Amino acid sequence: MDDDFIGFVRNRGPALGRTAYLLTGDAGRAEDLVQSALLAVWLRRGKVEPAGWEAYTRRTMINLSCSWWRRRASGERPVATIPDQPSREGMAPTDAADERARLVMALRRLPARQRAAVVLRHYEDLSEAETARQLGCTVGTIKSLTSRGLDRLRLLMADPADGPPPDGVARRGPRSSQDAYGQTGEAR
Amino acid sequence: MNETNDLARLLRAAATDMPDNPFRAEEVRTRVGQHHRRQRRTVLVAGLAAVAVGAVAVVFGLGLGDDSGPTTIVPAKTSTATPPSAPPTTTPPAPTTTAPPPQDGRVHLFGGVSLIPPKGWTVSASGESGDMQVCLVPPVSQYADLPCDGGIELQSGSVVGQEGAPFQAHQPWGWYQGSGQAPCPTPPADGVNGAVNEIWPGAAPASGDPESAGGPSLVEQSAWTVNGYTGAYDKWAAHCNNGFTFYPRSWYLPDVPFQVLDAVGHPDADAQLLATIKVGSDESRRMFFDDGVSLIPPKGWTVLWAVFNPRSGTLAPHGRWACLVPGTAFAYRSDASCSGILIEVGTVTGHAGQPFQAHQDDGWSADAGPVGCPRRPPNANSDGSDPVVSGAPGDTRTDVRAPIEQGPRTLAGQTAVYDMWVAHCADDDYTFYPRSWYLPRIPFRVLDYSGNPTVTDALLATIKIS
Repeated sequence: MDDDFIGFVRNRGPALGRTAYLLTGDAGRAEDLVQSALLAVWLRRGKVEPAGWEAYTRRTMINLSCSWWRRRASGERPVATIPDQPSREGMAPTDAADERARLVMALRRLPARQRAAVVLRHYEDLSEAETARQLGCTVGTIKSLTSRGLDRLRLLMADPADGPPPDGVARRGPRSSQDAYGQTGEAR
Repeated sequence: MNETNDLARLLRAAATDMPDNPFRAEEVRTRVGQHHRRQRRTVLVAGLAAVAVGAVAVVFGLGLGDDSGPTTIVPAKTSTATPPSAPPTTTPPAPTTTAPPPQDGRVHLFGGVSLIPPKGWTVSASGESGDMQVCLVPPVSQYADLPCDGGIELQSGSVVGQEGAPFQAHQPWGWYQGSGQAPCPTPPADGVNGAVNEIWPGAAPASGDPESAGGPSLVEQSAWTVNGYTGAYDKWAAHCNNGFTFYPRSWYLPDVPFQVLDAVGHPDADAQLLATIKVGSDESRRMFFDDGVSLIPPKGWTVLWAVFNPRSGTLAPHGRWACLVPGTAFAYRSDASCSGILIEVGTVTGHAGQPFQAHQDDGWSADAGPVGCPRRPPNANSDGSDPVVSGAPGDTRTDVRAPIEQGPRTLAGQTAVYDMWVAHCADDDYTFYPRSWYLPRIPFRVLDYSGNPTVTDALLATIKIS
């Protein structure tokens, strides 16, 4: 790799890592996501100007984080209830670390595209139109994804240990997988 | 508003919990090295295979070098300077389907389609799968910001159309695969970098107002025939804010499915290219998996066939999973799991992500496998999850998650474990019957999630295990 690209990785890597962390909810997967995206950019460096490396990396991270093939291959397993959640009992509601942890765990329980829409809109501060371009869908879909994602986040943040299923159907069998990734047929 | 601001603040705070990795650059450098080594190994393996095939051909007089053989499949990348990044552990295609790059530069795509790029044009893979999405790039491109640098895109096996939906003949805006604000192939009239120069359907209106109605979007449509296959030709008109009008054109064969898409317009190149297209026999559409498994996907079905390998940072070869969905079904791969027929080789996932076992309760419902109702009910949930419930409506069995039918079945000459379950959509009681054929020795499984008995039976008949 040339010095320019190494410099880019060193300078922008931490910021990319933070976005990846919110997209994956896991530091290990976030690091893998960043490095995978950086490798993709490096392999296409002949077609991407250095000024576009960061945007290309972010776009690649989003695509990869939403790919169910990738989630499957990386061993990411959706579960109905995220383990190791910190108990709210006895904890002060103002405990900042607990609040952050609950947010990340709640993010992990969102479907990938809802999660990406929330992160792009409310962490990256992208407009609805730009978020739509990043996720390859319409602005209307972004509105829907973000709205559903925020609603679900609020529910999960309020009651993380036993967040209600999104559709009011009792969990049984297939629901465990749908809770995490069961978004099909979304409006486009 | 305050609540949204609180969320943004909390997201920023939570993001800081990501530890910095001071060795990230070095680790990426290592991945680059691994990638290059894998490419070299692949070239070596491909070279050895070609030598072996050549030797067999010499001994048995098979006559290599004839590019007209319709059963020859060479991944597009193999015909160009960049070889595929398949690790050598992948079982290569059977020798009769491997050949050295032909002398005339013929590019062989997934699905048995082959063609010769226009003279002077270069070939590059545009997507995740080297022989399913291929770009033909002109020697000089005026529109380098467009997909394929403004050249011609070839899609085979999976053809994406308007706003990411499966392409269909005569689809309005069928040439535009993205969504949201479409970037125009020319810069904005005022020349300001970064300004959005949106695309509108139809030719530029005489009024000069780009947002007023221009001409129709779809301006020409007809049948297109090649090698006995009948498809569709479409020509659209589109214009930009700055008045630039252009005419994307598509030639589409639904049976493969396959598409030539020229978004900006290269009429001479199109003519050269179209004259060289050949479509092979059914056998030339055979897909090869790890461990000697191969099959021929149903005609006209979309093939989703790409797996990311987190260890190498690259897309894994087409060896372990494939999802086959009807051509017009919703096939957007980001959130939709395999709503059609899932092929798994090497690792077979059962209920809730556990290893699959014969006759497993809800063994059809894997973690990232089939989820959601296979037929979206008219009164679908607002969150789009369309929940599925095990068992038939009003099922009185003690264990509604257990298979309703099970037993041995013959698959490719071997005894497979067969299971059939029943489930229904909670919203409208639509009942469906997932079926599974499982060979634990490999392991290998075909899972027909939503119930396509005729198609699945035909597919099973094509399976070979060498």
